[in-house]
Amino acid sequence: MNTSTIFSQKTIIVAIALLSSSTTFAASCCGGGSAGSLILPKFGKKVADVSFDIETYQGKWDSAGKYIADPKSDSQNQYRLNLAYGQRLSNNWQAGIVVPYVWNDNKVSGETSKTEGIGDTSINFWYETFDRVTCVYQINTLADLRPAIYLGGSLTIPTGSSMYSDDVDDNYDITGRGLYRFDTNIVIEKTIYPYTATLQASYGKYLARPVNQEYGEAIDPYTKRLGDRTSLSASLAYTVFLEDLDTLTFTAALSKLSEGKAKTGNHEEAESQFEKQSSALSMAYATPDLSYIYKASLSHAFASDNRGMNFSVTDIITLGVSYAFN
Amino acid sequence: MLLIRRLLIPCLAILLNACVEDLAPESKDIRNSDSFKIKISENFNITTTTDEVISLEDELANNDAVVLYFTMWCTTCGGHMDEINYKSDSYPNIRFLMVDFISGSISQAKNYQRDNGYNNMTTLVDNDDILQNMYDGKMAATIVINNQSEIIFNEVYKSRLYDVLDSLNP
Repeated sequence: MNTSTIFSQKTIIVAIALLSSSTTFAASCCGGGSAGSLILPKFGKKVADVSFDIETYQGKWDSAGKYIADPKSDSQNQYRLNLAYGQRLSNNWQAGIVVPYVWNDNKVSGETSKTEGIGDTSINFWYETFDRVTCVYQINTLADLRPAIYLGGSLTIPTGSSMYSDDVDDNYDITGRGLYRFDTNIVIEKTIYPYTATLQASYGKYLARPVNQEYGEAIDPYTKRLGDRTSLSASLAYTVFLEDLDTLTFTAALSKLSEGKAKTGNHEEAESQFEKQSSALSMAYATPDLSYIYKASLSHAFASDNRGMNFSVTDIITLGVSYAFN
Repeated sequence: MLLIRRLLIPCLAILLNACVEDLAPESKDIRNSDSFKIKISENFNITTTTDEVISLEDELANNDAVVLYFTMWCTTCGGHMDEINYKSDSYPNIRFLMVDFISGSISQAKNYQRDNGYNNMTTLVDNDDILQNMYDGKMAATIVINNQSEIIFNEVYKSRLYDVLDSLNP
């Protein structure tokens, strides 16, 4: 068995990365968002965010939803450095970009592999449906119940190298899915200190693309379209005010991600659909002026039957910091 | 401004290094004339996870075709194998063989096969890279060899495989 063959095992982990959220759960910050997307606080003008993900493969769900554990002798990990920048465009509009860089580190059947490369980039636009921060300390009027609602669009750009690129010789070179995707997103958040509840949903469609090669080998061309993607997440956060009005926020979240059947030409690829259910715990420390937010989170996919389908079961530890400035 | 420059410049540099083929994919057929030449498969004798030796010649003598599927036992491969397992009943004259090209030993391949629930699928253990070299096998590579030993399909698994099989099994 040659080394590159064994290295190709890491495709499992690459696939995980390409399907995972790439930003940490932020602290709730009066309209600043507690969702897994980079969202500026209402009064923020610019934000830079750096986060680092450590993702470990724990097994998979098969197509019937049965959980299959990974052999203990194997180790498959992926590390991602996510560089993000957000900019306020007007009172109610903001935009952001997230660029991941991916390292794969796998040991399978005693063989090790280490590969790296840029992942797929995403560009996000958000519209805030509210003009003032909506978080309150107590409810005095009906208006105090009004949540912060963000409506957004995200474009995923295939800047990574996919199996359809001509610079990819084998699976271990893959760092992207190779297709553009447009998502519509909604985030609904309400903070009544010290509690914050958040609902987030997104629906994404991939753009069809022509394919004329796979792993650098020319093939009979066909058109590829991945299935529509749906993501739902609900979270509840509790904020502790510290001595100097800096805050510590603890968040628990439940998420569900699914993708429909892909199409190659006129054929539907039945085995391509997947589903993943996971939970997450996060902690965020914010300075009193919210200029710095330090974040840590643990996302855990449910390693049991019928909590997913056709998908890898992974745990993700994320550490990050964001800096808001004018 | 300094921070912006520090962040944006690396981002732009990364984007400029992005894969052009994925950013602007083309539908042009880039196969060369060799791609259209019929390739004849050599014979092979490979041991399975049940210690049986499978010969391509023997299989082709008894079937209309042989399908080889290169598995890493990963999530993607599992989905493909489930579908192959399900659909193979519709092709009684075609022999479906899984190829474990990562385990490196029969015992390890047995473990993967058992743990992933595919004991009912005949699995070749390619621990000397014979099949991988013969067919340029990668994850999810699917090869169809007809009973004339012609390699009539060699692509990553996809449903048009069954168009090819249907043409052999009208």
